[in-house]
Amino acid sequence: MRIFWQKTVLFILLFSPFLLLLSDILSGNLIDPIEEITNPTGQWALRFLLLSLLITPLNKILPFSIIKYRRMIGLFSFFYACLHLSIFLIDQQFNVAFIFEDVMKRPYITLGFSAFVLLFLLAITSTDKMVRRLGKRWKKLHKSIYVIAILVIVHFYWQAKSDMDIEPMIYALITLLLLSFRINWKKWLN
Amino acid sequence: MIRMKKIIEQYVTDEKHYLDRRAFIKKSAGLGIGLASFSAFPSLAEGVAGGGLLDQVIPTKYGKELTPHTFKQITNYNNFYEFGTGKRDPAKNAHSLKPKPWHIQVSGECAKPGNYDLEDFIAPYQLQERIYRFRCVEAWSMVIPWVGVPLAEVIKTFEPTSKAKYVVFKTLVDKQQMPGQKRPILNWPYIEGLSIAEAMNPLSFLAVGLYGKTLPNQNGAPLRLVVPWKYGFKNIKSIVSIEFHEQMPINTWQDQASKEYGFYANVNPNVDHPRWSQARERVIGRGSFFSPEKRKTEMFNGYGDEVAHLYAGLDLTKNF
Ligand code: HEM
Repeated sequence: MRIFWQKTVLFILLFSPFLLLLSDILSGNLIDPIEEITNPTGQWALRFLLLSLLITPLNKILPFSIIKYRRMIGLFSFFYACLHLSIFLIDQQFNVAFIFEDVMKRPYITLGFSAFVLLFLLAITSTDKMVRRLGKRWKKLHKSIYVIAILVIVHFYWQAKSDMDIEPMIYALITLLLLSFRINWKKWLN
Repeated sequence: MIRMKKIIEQYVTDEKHYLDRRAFIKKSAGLGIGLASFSAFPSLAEGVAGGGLLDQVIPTKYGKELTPHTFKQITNYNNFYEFGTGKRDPAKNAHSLKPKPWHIQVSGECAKPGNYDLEDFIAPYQLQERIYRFRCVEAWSMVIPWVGVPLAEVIKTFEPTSKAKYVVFKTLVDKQQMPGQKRPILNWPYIEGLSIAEAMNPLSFLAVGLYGKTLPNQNGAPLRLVVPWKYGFKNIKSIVSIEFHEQMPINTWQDQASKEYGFYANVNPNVDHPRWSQARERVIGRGSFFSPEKRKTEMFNGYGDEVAHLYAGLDLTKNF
């Protein structure tokens, strides 16, 4: 029962950026909904992706287990990535030729798209049944979350208008830090 | 489907208000009252919200057929990195700018250099309103009713010499007033330039207001450039220096990324930005949520008749 309530609270927390965005849309506060939804949804997708990466190292130092929350956080990252992609499709007027051109010709879109495809694969293989069915291969597949994080950071950096924009750099630093937790330094140094 | 009816109603009221006022101005002018009755000496720089009603502005033929965006849209969706990189940052942060008193340093290859108080700088010219299309290099656009003076008239006053091939503009540098300058996002000060022929073109405009009021800080108070056939970033804001040069300057965005931004920055649907297409533009806030309005970007933003001759023989794919 306690776990149920904890998960409910977590759900509400992860869902609240969406509710805030929705209230902005419905109240007509947004001047350019395309940009003003694309950017926050991209950022929330990335934040939750990084948060899901933080769970494993954090779990090691905490006296209690938090692994059970990891899946929900990962799925919320995918949820915000879906919203992010939907706005892109709306902006492209659902025109297949325009979308194809952007994915092929614009490197930052190519990277975002690749990250999305991988994230989609992780999302559909996140059920208990799939975890069991894939066994060892599940672990391998889900390690691609690191690749996704790097793809998204470069996607973020390449879409920024100024090379000196500090935001992508902050996310890049956090990602590097999270990656460094996972390297078995002892094995490397010997 | 969420229609943006609410927002659209908002434009209508805003516009109606504005048009009503224009009608009133005409009427009162006809009665011989004139606008002077609103305020005897309106200042050109009223601060944050703009708001100071400008005196004796004459309408012009420019953009009569266009429907301007609302004051709210024009003043809350800005690129002005001196106040932050987000579109909402300038409206949030520009209150720290003090547009009064304001001085403009005129220097370089001209007969009448000097340091001019803004009021004296603008006083000799008749203020006029021009409704221009505004096309950002990021592929969105608006329609803005500017108030200002033709740049050509101002330039003639300073009597540039035969060596003056370019006009260079610089924005204020002051970390206290412009907190975005605390970080090296761009190489401050922001610099822009025009060839003399471009600057003397009748379309080139120095704006001191919009919607009949003084410029809000976030729109580049108290004085900014408006060159509607070029991408938005050429329209340098909060100008403190005008210089006449013999050499072509390196403008700020060219300095930042010379493969992506050049000196000319003419609106051109046939030359893509390396990272996105310039063929179409999103008209801010028009259309519905699921189908935002897009229009085909026009060569020189639709001002080709006035400016195309300036670039005869120039390869616009190289000189972007
Ligand atoms: C098909 C997939 C994707 C497409 C088409 C796409 C497209 C875009 C576009 C158009 C922008 C805005 C660029 C601009 O403002 O000029 C953007 C920014 C961004 N995207 Fe994506 N993206 C995709 C996937 C992703 C994924 C999977 C993530 C994260 C998990 C992500 C995170 C971001 C972030 C963090 C930004 C920057 C937001 C900001 O500047 O505040 N994107 N993306």
